[in-house]
Amino acid sequence: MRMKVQNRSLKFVGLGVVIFLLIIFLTTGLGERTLHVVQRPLVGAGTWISQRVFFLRGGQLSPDEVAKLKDRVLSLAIDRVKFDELTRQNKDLKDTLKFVERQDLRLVTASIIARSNTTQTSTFSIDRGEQDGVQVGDPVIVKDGVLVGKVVSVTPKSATVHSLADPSVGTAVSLLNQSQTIGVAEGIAGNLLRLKFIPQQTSIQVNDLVISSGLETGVPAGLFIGLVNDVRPEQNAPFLEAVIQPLVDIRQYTIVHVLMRQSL
Amino acid sequence: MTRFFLSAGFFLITFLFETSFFSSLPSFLALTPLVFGLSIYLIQHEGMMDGFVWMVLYGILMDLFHIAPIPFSFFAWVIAAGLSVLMARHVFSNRSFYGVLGCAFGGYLCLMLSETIILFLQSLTDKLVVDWSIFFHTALQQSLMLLCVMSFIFAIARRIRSSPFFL
Repeated sequence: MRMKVQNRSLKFVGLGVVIFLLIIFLTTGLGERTLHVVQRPLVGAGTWISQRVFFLRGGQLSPDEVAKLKDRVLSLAIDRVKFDELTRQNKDLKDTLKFVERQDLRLVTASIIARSNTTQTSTFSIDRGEQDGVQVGDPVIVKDGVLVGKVVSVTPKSATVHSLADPSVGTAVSLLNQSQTIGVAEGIAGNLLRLKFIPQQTSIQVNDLVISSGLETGVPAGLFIGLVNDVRPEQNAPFLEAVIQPLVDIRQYTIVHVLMRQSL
Repeated sequence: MTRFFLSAGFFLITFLFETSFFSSLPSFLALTPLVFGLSIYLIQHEGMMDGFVWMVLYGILMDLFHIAPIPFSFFAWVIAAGLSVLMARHVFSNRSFYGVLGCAFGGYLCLMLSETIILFLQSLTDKLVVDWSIFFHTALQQSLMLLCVMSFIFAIARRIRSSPFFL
């Protein structure tokens, strides 16, 4: 009887030691780096399948056609933003130049190593952390400056990013319409964003481009966010609300870039 | 001790496959509850407490890596793991596929209920806006994936056990 109890306690001690060692291994630098080596190809394989299994994403077009159309939308969006930006720069060149010079940002490329497995929130981990200069609040972009999320927590060698469509994330945005509407877009269900409290007399059209307004610490102006998908009156309030569709789907990417504030 | 390390190694591989590979797949495939399915199989069909430890560890790691769909998911996983052990011992038969399936869905229901309570409490305190339709829609899709995972594990495990290598 005594032996049995002793064996049982030994088992529990052993189990505790293994759990403790596992957690220590996973949270130390060497463990994290080892995990990243395994995680990167796994995320790559999953994303590769995701990019090819187009019918599960509700598309009727072939993957090539979808890719071409996406690139076309993105290039049109980029052209439109460039055009508007140039027009604005002509109006107030000096101020703009001063503002650009004031931007104290540098870029770090990171691989996605894990994602949350739910449609309710959109969170992913990257293999860059505090030691690489990543800070909470840093914006995360893909391609030519498409803002996809913000860093919400950092460890020495990794960081967690919430996508813009996450309900807990608010982003200072600006619409490229006549009135240059600004506001805070927040994530809503279905991988979309919502811009509320827009005055009713504002002229907003579907497909208006939405960019970051620069009125947020660490997030520069002019990063692409999405297109206005729908404009509707707010319930019980004399305002409009715009539903914004992000320009890119983060599940299609394995590499992202973190825009970092240089150490002050 | 070696068995514990082996179990921890298997858990780590399964955890990485779920959070890195499956979560990158499109649509409902991203919701595959691989760790949960395997843990329930170990608890119910094999009578191994490793499943309980796997579920608790999963909760800890999800919180540690901040990729859990809800805050404090560790508590939800501990409750689900505990109730799954109780159900495996006192409610469902461990011989049939339906017993394992019953235990899996019972455990999953506990997990969802715990997560719902945590989310509800958080929405009260932090004024967090929770879209319950998305939450329950995801849960429904995940439960269907759980059915697929359990069927797959049950079939594969039976085939492995009846192979000449194990006889």
